Amino acid sequence: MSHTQRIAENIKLARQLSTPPAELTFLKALDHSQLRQLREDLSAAMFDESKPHFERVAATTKLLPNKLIAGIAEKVVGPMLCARIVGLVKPSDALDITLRTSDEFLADASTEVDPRSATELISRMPVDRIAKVTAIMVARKEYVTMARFVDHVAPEAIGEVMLGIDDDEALLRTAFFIESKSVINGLLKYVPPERIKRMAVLAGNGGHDLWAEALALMAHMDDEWKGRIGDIVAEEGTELLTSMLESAKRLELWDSLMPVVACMSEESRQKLVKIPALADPAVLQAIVTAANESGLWESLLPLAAHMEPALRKTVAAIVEQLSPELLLNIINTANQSELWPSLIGILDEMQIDEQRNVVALVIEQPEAVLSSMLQAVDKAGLWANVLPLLGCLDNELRTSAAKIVERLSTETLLNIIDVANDNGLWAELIAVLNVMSDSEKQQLLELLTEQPDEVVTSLIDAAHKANLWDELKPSFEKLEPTSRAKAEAIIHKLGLSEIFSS
Amino acid sequence: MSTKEQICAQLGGREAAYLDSLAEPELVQLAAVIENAKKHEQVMLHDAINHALNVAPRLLRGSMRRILFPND
Repeated sequence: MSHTQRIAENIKLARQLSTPPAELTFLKALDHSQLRQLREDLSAAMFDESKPHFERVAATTKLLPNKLIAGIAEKVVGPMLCARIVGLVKPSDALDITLRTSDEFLADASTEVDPRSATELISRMPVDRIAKVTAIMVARKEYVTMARFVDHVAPEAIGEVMLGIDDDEALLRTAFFIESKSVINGLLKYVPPERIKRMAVLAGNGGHDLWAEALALMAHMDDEWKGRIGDIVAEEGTELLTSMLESAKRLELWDSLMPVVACMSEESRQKLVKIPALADPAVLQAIVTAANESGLWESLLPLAAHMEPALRKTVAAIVEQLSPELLLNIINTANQSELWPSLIGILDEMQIDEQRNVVALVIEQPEAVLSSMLQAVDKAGLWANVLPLLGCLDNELRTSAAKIVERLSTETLLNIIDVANDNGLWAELIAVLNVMSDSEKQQLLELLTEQPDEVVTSLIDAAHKANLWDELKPSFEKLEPTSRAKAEAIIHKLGLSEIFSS
Repeated sequence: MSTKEQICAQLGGREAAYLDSLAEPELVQLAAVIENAKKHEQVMLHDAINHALNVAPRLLRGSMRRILFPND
């Protein structure tokens, strides 16, 4: 959102400096709030400097009837000087005089006035008059001016004025320049759903290219509105979604778009990840960069969950290049926002060495984090993804992982056993089992041998084929008599009696 | 006076700590742009005052200017 805010602030500052926005590229080190502060200081300084020039003119308004002053103001003094003087006149007189001038004149003066100097006058202005002047400013495309007044007019009055504006483009462009973005949510209740839909479609219309304005607006909406409008765009189809992505790419608006994506429905996100424009590695790189720079992993991780493996692999290849600090940020986000399944989905597509690095970072996390991850993995049925990750660890890390496995509940261990059996992941489980403490290893083996014969058969067969039996054998020999008898019977049945006697 | 101090003076003596991230060449450019903007504003105001005074009889304009716009 700060990128769109910066674009808007750059335009407003350029206007204050009477120079084209492109001439201000030398201020690129300033963010939107700094540009805004500079503009406000400059505006205040210019008004302060001109104030002594007009104090005597303002004083003359006390000497003549307001009707006469209104005539002189419009026909002689002109809008520019009136805009400087209005803040120096008693608000009740200023209102009376203003109401006696024409709509055209008021629109001219509005472009020149600093609304902060005439707050009381603006707040007392009748709504029908504001509507008439606004209609003129809409026709003149005075979007910056209209936005400047939004902070000083009651939301109900703005709502009424908005109802009288048919021009959706004007609404979007004006909203782009509103300074107190907090008023946006309050104003949305005055916009009927069908109009919001119309505005979303308009934003994507090639002839208008209003995505910067639309996304800037959406960035300041609450999550419910972000989701609603994001879903409207998705419902409109591939063309509109593509246009949104292309604009985000061209104008670097990912920091505005991603929070909207995060609020979309599952169905909408599924549509979005199928858009070919998203498959462009440059686009994904830009999204990952924005996620890092603006802390948007909370928005990106849910999207990754809906990606096809090939697309997720591209994301994984980009994530692989990130520093441990950034990877740690992602891990923290996954933990805080309960997005472990999405992160594991990305992890699955990484190279083994990189997987090892990330798992090592995860294992170093406090117990509460690991516990939350394991609960999420268990709940989402992701042991088939996690067991191979544990299998690829070096001995030291695997020992750390084993300590975590030791703390799992029997119910969870049974789930893991099921997954190892169903997915042929015994070797991975045995690798962890072998580095567990003796007592925990024994308990797990007891649990394993309590399983149906076909499960125990599968385990022993896999251990034999993977040459892991020698490591397991001492533990098998310590099994409870009943469990040991069951294991021996199965070994005998498999024709592997020599492995126990050897 | 440093360029930064010059800009603060242009901004009516306001502390502009938010400009600290700008390098000297950028500060110089900014000072020039602000100077131009202020000149532009002064010309516009001056023209507007002259335009306003044009409706008065020529002989009275000087007096009216001195009374109404003593600082212009």
